[in-house]
Amino acid sequence: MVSRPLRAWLDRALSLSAGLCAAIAAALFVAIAAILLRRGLPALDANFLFTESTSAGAAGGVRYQLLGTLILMATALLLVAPPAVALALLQTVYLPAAAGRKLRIALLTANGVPSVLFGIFGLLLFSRWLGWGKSWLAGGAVLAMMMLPTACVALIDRIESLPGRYLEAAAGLGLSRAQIVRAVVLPQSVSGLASGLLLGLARAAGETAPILFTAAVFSGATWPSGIRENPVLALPYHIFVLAQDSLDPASQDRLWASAFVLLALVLLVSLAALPVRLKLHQEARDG
Amino acid sequence: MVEAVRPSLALGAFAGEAAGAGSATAPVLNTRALSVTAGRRPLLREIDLRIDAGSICALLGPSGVGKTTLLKCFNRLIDLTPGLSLEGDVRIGGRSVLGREVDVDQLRSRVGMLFQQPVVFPRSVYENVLFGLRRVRRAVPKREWPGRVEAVLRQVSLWDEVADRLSSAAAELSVGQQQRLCLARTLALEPEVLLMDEPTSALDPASTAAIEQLVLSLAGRTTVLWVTHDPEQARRIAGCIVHMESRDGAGCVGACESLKDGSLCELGSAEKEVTG
Repeated sequence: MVSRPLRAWLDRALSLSAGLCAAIAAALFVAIAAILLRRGLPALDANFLFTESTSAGAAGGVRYQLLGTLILMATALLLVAPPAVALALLQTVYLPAAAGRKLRIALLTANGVPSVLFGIFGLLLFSRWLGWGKSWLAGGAVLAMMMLPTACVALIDRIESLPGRYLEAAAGLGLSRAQIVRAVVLPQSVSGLASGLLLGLARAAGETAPILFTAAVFSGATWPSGIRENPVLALPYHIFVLAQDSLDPASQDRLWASAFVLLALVLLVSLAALPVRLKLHQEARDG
Repeated sequence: MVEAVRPSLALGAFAGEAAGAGSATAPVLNTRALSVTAGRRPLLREIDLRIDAGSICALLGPSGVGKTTLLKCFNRLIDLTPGLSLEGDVRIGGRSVLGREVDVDQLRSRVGMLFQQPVVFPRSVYENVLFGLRRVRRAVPKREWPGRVEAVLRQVSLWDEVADRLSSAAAELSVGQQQRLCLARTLALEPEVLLMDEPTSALDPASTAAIEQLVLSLAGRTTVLWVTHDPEQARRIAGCIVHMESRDGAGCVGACESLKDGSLCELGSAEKEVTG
């Protein structure tokens, strides 16, 4: 038996260490944001988002880098949603339990695959085999592949947390399995899908390696006019090149400012997922 | 207990193309040597039972004796519980419901079920009433939906309480109102058999009385099997009482008691103990 004072002390110690860990995580984010903002401030103004970069990134803004990143994100989002729903339904509804467990393990494993491998796979499949070359669609497809496990697992978790009584009541009325999926499972899992998609997107938005080989160039691209050999500019790649190549102080300012814009973009996407995640947590608490 | 296991949609239990169970009139329910096991653990052992068409029969017995399990055999909701196996036969209107050729979806639409706790879908009151009707009875034209909704809500004495908030969320209703809404949703399909799993155990006296009155009004047209723990309620509503008991760790029928004239329920020929 643990005495009451010791129990209270252990409880306080545990609370304190949990608070400390949370504070470290929050401080890390605040520190990164503060450094980016302080260093990028000389370049950050109202025009930075809306003007084209010039002089190899030493002047101008990130108009097409931001646009290219948004194109890649939107493409990835559109491409990943249907297979994420299909795989989640396959795992939870259609596959026998043992096969479903194997699929889940495969998805979790895919979640841990380094992004550069997705990039190389995309290079071989989309750019070479399908002949798209460097293309916004190839980049979006690679990012979609990267997002798939996150979106899928989030949706599976949501479907599995649906109260069994809904399924039983719908089946009891004579609805077929397909009707139950359409009328009960999918409508009540939308929040899980949205949450998974946005979290996956937040991660994919900042990735450089997958688009390095498949979609992004440093300059010259504007609005894509087709699929084949239609690359885009992208913030992560822009930052990557500026960080590697430029010793010019003006470029350095723009490097930090671009990084701040990317961080803000990722933060916005993560915040967009927050309401649905809070709703899921609330539902989990309410049973 | 079996009832606590989460239903699974991954059992392939919805297959089947042949004609469903039952005829146009209320059908006879019967089981022959029905046994249900979960792995090696028996849940029901050799149940032989016959319930006459159109009768209201109460199923009485201690908790865990398998009343809900027996109920779910009649509409094959038992299929949704993984790991159970059935032996013997279950017949409705003379046709077996356990065969692979049975259209289980059609069977369930004709054998309605009301659960212990009301299960309203996160939709409006109106949408909840229509939930099964619009998907399962597709021959019913859309213009008839409002009339059907009003009729079944009146049938369960809920119309006056919800007429002005049909588009409100069903979850905002009281538990008693929700249970009557679930009953209305089931009745909208005009089932020939109604399985009721302690439907009033969580309800206030007014809602309990409304449901009892409604079920009494169905006598002769719909065969009702009502699980209850309350012997008084069983005698109020039922024409016959099936007493279930536990034997060797599994549920079986101890006696079948007919409260009114005629043989409303009886045990199978192997173990006939009709009283009353």
